[in-house]
Amino acid sequence: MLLSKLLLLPFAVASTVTVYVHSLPASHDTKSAAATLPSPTPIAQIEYDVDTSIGTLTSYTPPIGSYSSEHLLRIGLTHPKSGHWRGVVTSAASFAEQYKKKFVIHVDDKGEVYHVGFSASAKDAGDEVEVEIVKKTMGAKPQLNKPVVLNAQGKLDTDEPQKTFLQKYWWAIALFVVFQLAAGGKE
Amino acid sequence: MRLNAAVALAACLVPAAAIFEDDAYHIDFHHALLGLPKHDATFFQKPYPASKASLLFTISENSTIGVVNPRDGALVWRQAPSPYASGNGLLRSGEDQDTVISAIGDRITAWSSSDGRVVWEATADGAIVQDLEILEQEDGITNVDAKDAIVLVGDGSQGVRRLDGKTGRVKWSYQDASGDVPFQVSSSPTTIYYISLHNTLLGGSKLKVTSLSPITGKKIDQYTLNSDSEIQDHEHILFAGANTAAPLLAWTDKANKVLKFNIIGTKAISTFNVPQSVVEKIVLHAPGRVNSLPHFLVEYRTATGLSAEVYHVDLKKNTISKAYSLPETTGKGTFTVSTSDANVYFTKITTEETTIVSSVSHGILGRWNVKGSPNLAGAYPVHGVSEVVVKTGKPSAVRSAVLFSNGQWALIRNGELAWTRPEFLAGAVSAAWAELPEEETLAHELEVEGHQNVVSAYFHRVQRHIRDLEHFPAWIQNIPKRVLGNLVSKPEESTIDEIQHDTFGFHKLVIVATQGGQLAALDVGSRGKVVWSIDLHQFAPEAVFQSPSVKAFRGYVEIKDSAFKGSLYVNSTTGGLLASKDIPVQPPVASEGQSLISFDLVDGILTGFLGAQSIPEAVWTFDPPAGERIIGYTARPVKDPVASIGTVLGDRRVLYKYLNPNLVLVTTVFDAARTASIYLLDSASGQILHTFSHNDVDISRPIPSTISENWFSYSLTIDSTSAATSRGYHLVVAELFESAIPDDRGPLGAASNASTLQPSAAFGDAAKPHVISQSYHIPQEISHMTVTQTRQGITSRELIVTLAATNSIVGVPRNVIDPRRPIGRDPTPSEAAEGLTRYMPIIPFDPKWHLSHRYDVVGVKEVITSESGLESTSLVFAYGLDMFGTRVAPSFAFDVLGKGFNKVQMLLTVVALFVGVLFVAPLVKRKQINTLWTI
Repeated sequence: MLLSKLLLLPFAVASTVTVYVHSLPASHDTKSAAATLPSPTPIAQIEYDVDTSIGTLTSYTPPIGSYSSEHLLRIGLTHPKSGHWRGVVTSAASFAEQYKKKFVIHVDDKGEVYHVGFSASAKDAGDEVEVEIVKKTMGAKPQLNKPVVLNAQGKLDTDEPQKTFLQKYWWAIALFVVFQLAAGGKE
Repeated sequence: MRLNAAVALAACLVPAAAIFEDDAYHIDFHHALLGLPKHDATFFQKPYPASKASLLFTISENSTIGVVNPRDGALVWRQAPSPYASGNGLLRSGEDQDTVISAIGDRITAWSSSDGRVVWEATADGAIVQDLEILEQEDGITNVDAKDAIVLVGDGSQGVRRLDGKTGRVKWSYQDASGDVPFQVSSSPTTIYYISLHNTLLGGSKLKVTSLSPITGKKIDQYTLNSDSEIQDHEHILFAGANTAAPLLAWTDKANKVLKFNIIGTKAISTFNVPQSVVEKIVLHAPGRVNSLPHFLVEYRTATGLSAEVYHVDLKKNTISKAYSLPETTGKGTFTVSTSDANVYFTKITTEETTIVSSVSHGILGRWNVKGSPNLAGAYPVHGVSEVVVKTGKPSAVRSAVLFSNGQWALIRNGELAWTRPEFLAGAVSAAWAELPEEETLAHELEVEGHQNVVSAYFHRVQRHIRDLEHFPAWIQNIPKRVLGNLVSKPEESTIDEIQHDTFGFHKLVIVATQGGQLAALDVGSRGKVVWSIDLHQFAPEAVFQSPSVKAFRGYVEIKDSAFKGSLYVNSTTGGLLASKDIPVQPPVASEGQSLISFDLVDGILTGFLGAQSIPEAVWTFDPPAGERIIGYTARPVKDPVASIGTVLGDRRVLYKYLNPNLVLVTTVFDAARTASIYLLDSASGQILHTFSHNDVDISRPIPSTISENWFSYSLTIDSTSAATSRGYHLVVAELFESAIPDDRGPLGAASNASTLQPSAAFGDAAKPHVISQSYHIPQEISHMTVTQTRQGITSRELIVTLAATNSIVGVPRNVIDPRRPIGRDPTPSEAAEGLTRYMPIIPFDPKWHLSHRYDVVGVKEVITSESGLESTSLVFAYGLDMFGTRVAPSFAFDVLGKGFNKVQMLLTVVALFVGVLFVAPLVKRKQINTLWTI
């Protein structure tokens, strides 16, 4: 198992995923807009390594076209096999310059991308576009109590270390010494 | 001292909310249902030979075996089928036996008649049991011991088997390799007849009768009857003489014009013409006892009336002759047959009267007028069974268990309705809490006032109050009645008026739709009384209902089904159909400048849509990883009030709850890898907020989940054959917070407005919650879970879980499954002050948590909860095969007086004190004056 993983390692690194942006028709002229719906355009290309969960942005092109800030844009990717589109929705305002954009790439256990996330927040010192690779987290398991181990005598094995002779009888020795000192004064 | 003891007692009670003894059977109800009884498998029978009274045995259309006490309709015992059972349910009983034998699918079981315990069980090895008979006599001698069963199996290895009546062991088996369709078995004192249908090339069927030796199972003889011109379908065979004195075969043609009889064992066919020209249905009633007279009755049902002919069989000459006919009467009804010694009696049951005739002559021996009942209004008898008491050669009393066309199973004793059982409710597939129109109107008016400016709202309110004055005289008149009713415990009546004027809001209507297309309204507050019930077929005559779904709106319910296009709108208070123009338009609540995103599961992909847009353009989609399939999703309830936005810690700091109204929990399984995953989505944007995955999951078991407030829970089964350290049933609870740090509101801060679509002006990732979760072992599998609901959400919540293995419903207190319980150490004093206890890996379901206490709530499909008028109390209703309703108070009934409170005593005390004051006041006054003068 480990060996096969090692063998696959060179291939596993640096997968690439392209994220697309796809405009939604404005809600008031649904019928006319359906015909003139623009096709998806690539917005970002992301290289990622599943094992280290590090993703790097190779290219980023903000969506072109003048949209009102309320206009909804779909961010997504295409299914590698079926070609189905999958993704989330955000507003055009998120691509304004004062915000930091963040792409979240959700990968499954086999390292394949299955979903994308997008958020925009206030820009701080860092880059304008950030990439995060999110793996599936394991669900909680019951935290079992430790089993009670009995020894051959059927008693609880106490791990307490045996006390040395000195530790056990120091008081007797001390008493003896004191006694000796006290008694030795008569000469 | 006494106060201290009371406080200590109260402190002990707090963690264990339980049902009090005096509340049980009062606040809750249980309809233990069977389903519609089958005609050929319903009978009166003594549970053991020496018994004085008989019980009513039946197997229903959903294969539930039930025994009912004919006196009051109470269930004696019941055996619900396993959910995997398929095929026809059969139930037979021999005379003077203490067992009944059932066959469902491939399982043949003998049950003890009096208590329903299993005597023996046998399987047909994958084949499906087609027919079952009891061998009453062998070589003309009645068996005194346990009578053997004759079983006809098909679908697999086809043939006849004889099973030992004591053990269920196969005595002999006869294999039939002809490939004919097995139909029935029948026995005569000397022979067993196996009847099969031989399909001819032209499409008709020939009846093939094979006689077998009862002792060896060897074939004695075989003959074929030329019935292929008439029998096109199973339905055309009227009767195949099950264990009568005269084993008969009777069939008719497609147009119900001609009747043909064959006495089994002979090859002759007697032909009779049907007297009426247009007959809708022909039913043959023959006595089921071997030693009764060989007489039988043929019932003709027309569109308007009912008539019958009685035939006699001459066993010596092997001929059939018509004895007499009963004239046609208008009105629908049915006939039943009953025996007393060798005599045969036929009972005619219509909506108006019950009459008895003997099989020998047409003279009416008894006649009783049937008194109508609101439960049976508009319904007519469909089929029934009767038991006749004969004194000095004349029938003196008759009781009939009759299934009515509205699904009520009733017992009519000498014309009096003894009881009814609402069997049509069994197999409910959808239910919703009805919202009554009146209270909603008030809510609407208040809403209007809330949106106006102060002056116009004031005028609106004054106008409303003036309008309300017209109810004032009636209200004044009602006061004495209501006060009296409060003092003396009033009978639990349930009318719509009562429900509307219910102060505590316990009387709430549940609208239930059944698989068969029945719709009923139950009052949960008055022990599940059926307020109204209708058959949906009257509104959609052609539709064959698959699983209608109910959705409640203000004053009406919407019913949808795949059987018809569009929806039906039914008034929630009366059950009447509403035309679409009567329905007030209720657009989805979206304020100005906002758009609504709805979502649904489309082709296994969760897809979000923009509003009620006509073009189904997906806004977002969630497609699980390759190999995984979505098995279910749960959204946060639409009405989920939260009283506090934070959890107060022991040291007075606050953990802020992540309260997103758009949370959706999606459950997926990966069949090949045996993993289950839970995805927490934001349904506005489609973003994944959190994921959980579990390995070694037994994916054949249910994974129920629920989400409420800022927490969700789900339950799954870890495969017992896996290598996981903790296998079995797990309950996982997760809680969402805005931040892991107390007193911190995360990136969003105290902003009152946030959007997952719009960019946030704050630093950091705003949309992601901080998730804390814990998992517990539970002793039983959970088949469904939900959360209690209260009016303001102040009362702590309870997780209501359904345990299918023990047929019970359990309310798990929220603090027991708090994911912040400290693991591996005792709680610190501040955690203890919060009520957190040390984590234990196992949650035993405390018997005190069982809401269903002694009830056996079988086949629960779903549990729904609703707020009541009181903040402390939530209403719970479970449906499926059974109906169960109760109310729970997870933080105790802090806002209502208990049953033990004596109002009369309180009034008397007040009066006594008042009288005392009247007497003492002059004395005190005089004393005060005297003290003034003494100085």
